[in-house]
Amino acid sequence: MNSILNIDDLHLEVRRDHIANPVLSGVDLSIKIGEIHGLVGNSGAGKSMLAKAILGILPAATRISSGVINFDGKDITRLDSKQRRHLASRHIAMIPQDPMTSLNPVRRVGKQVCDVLQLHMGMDRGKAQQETQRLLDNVQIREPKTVMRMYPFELSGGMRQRVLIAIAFSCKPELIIADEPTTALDVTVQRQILQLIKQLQMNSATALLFISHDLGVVAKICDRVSIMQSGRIVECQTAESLFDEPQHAYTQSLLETTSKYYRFDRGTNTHSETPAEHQDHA
Amino acid sequence: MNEFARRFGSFSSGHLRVWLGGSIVLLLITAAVFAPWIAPHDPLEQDLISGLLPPFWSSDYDSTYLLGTDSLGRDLLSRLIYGARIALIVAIVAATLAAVLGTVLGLLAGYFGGLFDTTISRMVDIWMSFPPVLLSIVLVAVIGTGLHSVIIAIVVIDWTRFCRVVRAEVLVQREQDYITSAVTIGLGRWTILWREILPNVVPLLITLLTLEMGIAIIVEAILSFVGLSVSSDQATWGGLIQEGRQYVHQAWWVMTLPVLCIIASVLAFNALGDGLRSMLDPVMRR
Amino acid sequence: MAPRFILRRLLLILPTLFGVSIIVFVLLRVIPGDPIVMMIPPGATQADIDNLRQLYGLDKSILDQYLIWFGAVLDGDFGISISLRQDVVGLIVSRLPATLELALSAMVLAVVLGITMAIIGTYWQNRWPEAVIDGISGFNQAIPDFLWGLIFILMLGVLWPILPISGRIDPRTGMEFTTQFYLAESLLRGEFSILADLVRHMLLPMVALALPLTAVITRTLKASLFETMTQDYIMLSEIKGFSRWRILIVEALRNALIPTVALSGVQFNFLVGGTVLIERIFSYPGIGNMAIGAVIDRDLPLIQGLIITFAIIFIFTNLLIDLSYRLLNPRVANE
Ligand SMILES: Nc1ncnc2c1ncn2[C@@H]1O[C@H](COP(=O)(O)OP(=O)(O)OP(=O)(O)O)[C@@H](O)[C@H]1O
Ligand SMILES: [Mg+2]
Repeated sequence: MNSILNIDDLHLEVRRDHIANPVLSGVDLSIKIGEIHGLVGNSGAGKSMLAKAILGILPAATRISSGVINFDGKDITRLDSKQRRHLASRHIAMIPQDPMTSLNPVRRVGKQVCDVLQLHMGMDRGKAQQETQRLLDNVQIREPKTVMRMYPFELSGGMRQRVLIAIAFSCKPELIIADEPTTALDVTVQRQILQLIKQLQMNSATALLFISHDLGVVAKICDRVSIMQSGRIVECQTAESLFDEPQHAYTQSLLETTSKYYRFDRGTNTHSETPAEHQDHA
Repeated sequence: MNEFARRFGSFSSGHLRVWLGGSIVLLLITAAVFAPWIAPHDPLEQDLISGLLPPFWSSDYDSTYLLGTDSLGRDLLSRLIYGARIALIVAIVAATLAAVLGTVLGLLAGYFGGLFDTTISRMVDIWMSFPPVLLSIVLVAVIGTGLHSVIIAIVVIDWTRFCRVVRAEVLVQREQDYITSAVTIGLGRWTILWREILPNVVPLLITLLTLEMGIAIIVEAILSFVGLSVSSDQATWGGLIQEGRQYVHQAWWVMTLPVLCIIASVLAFNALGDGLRSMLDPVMRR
Repeated sequence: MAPRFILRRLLLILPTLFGVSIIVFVLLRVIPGDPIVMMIPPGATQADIDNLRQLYGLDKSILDQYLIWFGAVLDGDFGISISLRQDVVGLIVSRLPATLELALSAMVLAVVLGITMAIIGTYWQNRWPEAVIDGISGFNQAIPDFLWGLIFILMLGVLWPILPISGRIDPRTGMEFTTQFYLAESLLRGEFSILADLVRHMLLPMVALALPLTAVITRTLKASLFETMTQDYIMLSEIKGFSRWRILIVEALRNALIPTVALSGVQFNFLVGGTVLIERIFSYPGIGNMAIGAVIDRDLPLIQGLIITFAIIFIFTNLLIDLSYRLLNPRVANE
């Protein structure tokens, strides 16, 4: 299978008081077209930084010192901001970690979906609104027309995350990066959102980089998993073999701290399509 | 190298401003105190034949009047020097009184808290929402014109500046270790307030006081400009501006000179205050 | 919703004015100095003085005076100006439009300038345009409107005389106005040469009034924009692929304006207060200029009328600020 993203020996450093601290030191990662690729590692390992490097939104103090990020055959570390913008959302999108802060509080929800469509898909307003309605319907939001006219503060966290997922999938990108997309949500909603992401991903040709702390969740939805430790990918396996025969000592220790029954739980509940259980309009 | 840069940086930002501002303020004080000896003429002495004479750089310059005369032939230099007197009296007296009133209320509100604090803070908020210029004019309308009214107006309006800042600072200081240890030693509340907290807000107060003097000079100029300060035959910078404004097209210097005096002294007080702040601040934090 | 909010606020005006009127009345009656003394011609007899006193109701007790005065005020009668010997309401109505046009234009100018500078400073953060903007607004903040007015007169009225420094309109234009809103009227009637003359006269006082508010708006809005630009939703719109300009103006500006309005609101009142002085400096025929004259002449009825007028303007200014706050913030808008 061809890969959509190929990261080769990526080094990244943060400058603080004239001292460069390495954050990524030689990351190799490849994501295949249409797969769900898990990225696991403990806090501070550099997962979010890697995601930001791919998305091209690195903080000002950071610098890619060497290495390439090949997306669809092109090195995207060398793009200027205009070329980057063309790539954004249309080809690489993101599902953010915190739905409470990721929608603009003073703009109507519908507008925030429409504007991407208008920017990248060349739709006029009417067409974009129709498409928005369809997209919101797809992420199992009831009465999408009403929700479109609401402001973010009128929606619950789960609802907002559904909107953000709709935005991520709206332009049918080749790659979506989801950086801990459920950690800010409560447990029941987490499950629904995971199912939704998985289901939408399966119905599209989108590859998904799924960043998480939770090996159990990763085991459930990912095809392949990369393990990250202090700025390096130490192991990359299919989800099954990773759980059955972890190669790297670090992976083994990670697995031990995770509840064992996830291994047996794997596969259940993943493909069922239950609609959203709660749609509370907060 | 780094150390040098930091020192030089702190010199240019702090010391330089203190020196510049301080020397202009010193000049101002000298002019005010020794006005009768420095001023070449009596500021009230009229010489109707030689009205609106230009200053020394002009060809029509009359050597008895270095900076020229106003429409009644009074010597501008002398009027400016005597104007500095009034400006400085107001600046020092009004700013000091405002500082004392504001500091006392701010210390008490910050240290004792409770209802007293709520009342004072609420009052400060309301006070500060009134346009100060309008408020001072209304105040002068109520208490009448004159030097004391100008001073009262400034004190009544600007005590809030001190109160707010001192109160906030006390709230910070109160939580710090040395106060807690003073309490455990068993010092009384007043002693703590007087001996422990007050000395720590002094650097801040000096800065605020200096800035307030600049403000007071402007307020005095405004009130004398509109004719609500001292009686109009006394020389004030604002009065000179008002006079010069009337024939600004014939004799622009009559208005320009006092405006320059005001700008110079206000900038000097600002520079002194800002310089003191950046000099005293790190000392305080250490 | 908004209409009910406005109605509630408008109803609040009445008790506020009642309070203001009591304070004003009492304050001005306890002051030293007898206004009657100022109006008597030399050589008037005691009987003349008593007559005048009676005429202006100054021989009764304070409470009676207040009741008489307030009763008249409710009828729209603020009495006769002592110094100008004209109806106070008539005087104020004829001068108020000039002040309103000046203050409103200055507010609009300050808002437009302040927002523009804050946006430019944020867009070119850490580069020379930001340094220039910080320099300008720091300088701007150190100089009060009074000094700006004087500096403008010297620079643009005398040194390089390109603008008029006195009055509201060139008397030679000879236009007959039906209202006192010269600016609005000449605009509506399409008299553009007259409009240009009015604008030329208004320019310097307007800019002098606007500059301090501009400095405050620039500083608060810029700080608020910086803060907003670090928010998650801004990062997300970057990922959506929008340009930095669009993100600043469409996504960040409205959010950043909400705290700015709350913080700089009181400065709009300061601008209105500033008209008193600026009108005096530029001999502009508005109520501010008149107010100083009234204070100098101890013209009680006029002072009372003017203070109440200013109180009403402040109430409306605050209403305008609260309204824009509600318009900007969807959370309170729907309450
Ligand atoms: N804005 C920043 N400036 C400087 N250093 C940063 C910044 N953000 C992150 N870092 C550093 O980069 C390293 C990697 O951080 P990163 O956020 O990528 O970790 P992570 O794997 O996503 O952790 P978590 O699981 O907690 O989200 C950390 O050591 C962190 O200190
Ligand atoms: Mg992270």
